[in-house]
Amino acid sequence: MLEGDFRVPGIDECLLHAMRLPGVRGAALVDWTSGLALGTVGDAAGNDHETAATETAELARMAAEHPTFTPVGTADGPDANPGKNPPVEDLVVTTRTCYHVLRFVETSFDSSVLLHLWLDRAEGNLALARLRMRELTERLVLE
Amino acid sequence: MLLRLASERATGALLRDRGTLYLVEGQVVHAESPAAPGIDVLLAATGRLRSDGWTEALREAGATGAVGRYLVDSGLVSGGELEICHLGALFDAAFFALAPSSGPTRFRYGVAHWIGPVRPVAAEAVERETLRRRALLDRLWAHPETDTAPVVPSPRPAPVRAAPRQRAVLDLADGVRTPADIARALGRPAFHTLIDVRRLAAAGLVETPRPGATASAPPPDVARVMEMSADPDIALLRRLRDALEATL
Repeated sequence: MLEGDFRVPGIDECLLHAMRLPGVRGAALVDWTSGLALGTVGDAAGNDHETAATETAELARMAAEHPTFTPVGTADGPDANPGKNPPVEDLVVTTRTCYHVLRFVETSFDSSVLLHLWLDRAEGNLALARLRMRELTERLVLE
Repeated sequence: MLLRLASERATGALLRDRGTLYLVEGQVVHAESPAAPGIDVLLAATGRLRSDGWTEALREAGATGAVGRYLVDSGLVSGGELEICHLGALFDAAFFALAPSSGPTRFRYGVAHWIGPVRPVAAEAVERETLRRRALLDRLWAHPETDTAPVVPSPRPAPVRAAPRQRAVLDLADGVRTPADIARALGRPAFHTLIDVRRLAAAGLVETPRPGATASAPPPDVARVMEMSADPDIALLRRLRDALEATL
């Protein structure tokens, strides 16, 4: 590393920690409004990380925007500040061989970012992955 | 031009008429555009960082070009938040800076941005993303006038309910603010607001401006009033409005 190079715990560290989970094939931090991959690590689900990011973003947007998925009996209904409080915490997609977990990231400023984890179904532990993703996304914006 | 500078591993600022890209050794380290809210606006609009935090960071680290590092070291933002916000601002401004234009393109070697190193991006990735974004907008609603015209809510009863993030955009649509103004007010990237406005237009929740409507000069009567005084005369504007309504 060059002298004066500026590296703080950030996107890459978050993704590398996610890769330590059992059965992880790949991880990405994605802006779900634009469909841009802000950072990627490991293998890409499907063709490539960029296509995976746009498709992940589309799925996440549907979940975040449709009133069916807003929490019940809380203040963060459809009229809550959508930038700070995504109505959905995470999404799980299960295929015959894999899990995809999409975790929305809450930032102090207005953003639309999620952490996407792609796990092998036989080796991965879905419950552990969801817990760790919560910790990782909280640390990403606090440290 | 950008890709040539990248292959030369050039350091400096690429100036175009709709924005500037900052390169360090051929990688894009920052971008700015008058059409896109800066990273300071994005971080300060709703975040922890208020304008006095920015003033302090610029005073302490602006001259040495290390404002990003200062913000993190002093605990004003986390490393992750700075990277997320910085990438958002970079790709947003680059989208406008790299838009097709007939204006001149210049490169000033050695020029650096005060934000300093945060998370450099390959020039090819910036170029590719810019093209993808343009295609995405056209897929949503192929009316580019929507991007620059004032956003006018549809007078017809809403056929559908806007999604929460789009509702925030719709609430600020007053027939005067453009998508760029709304982005600045919400502290969101301008491109994100272009997406929302095109979706709202496609859903019939805002009007789709007629082609050419945005580029036209103000009508002669309005232009005459504007020439008379920078400080609008309310009584005169009322008379003008009444006269215009009478002719309709």
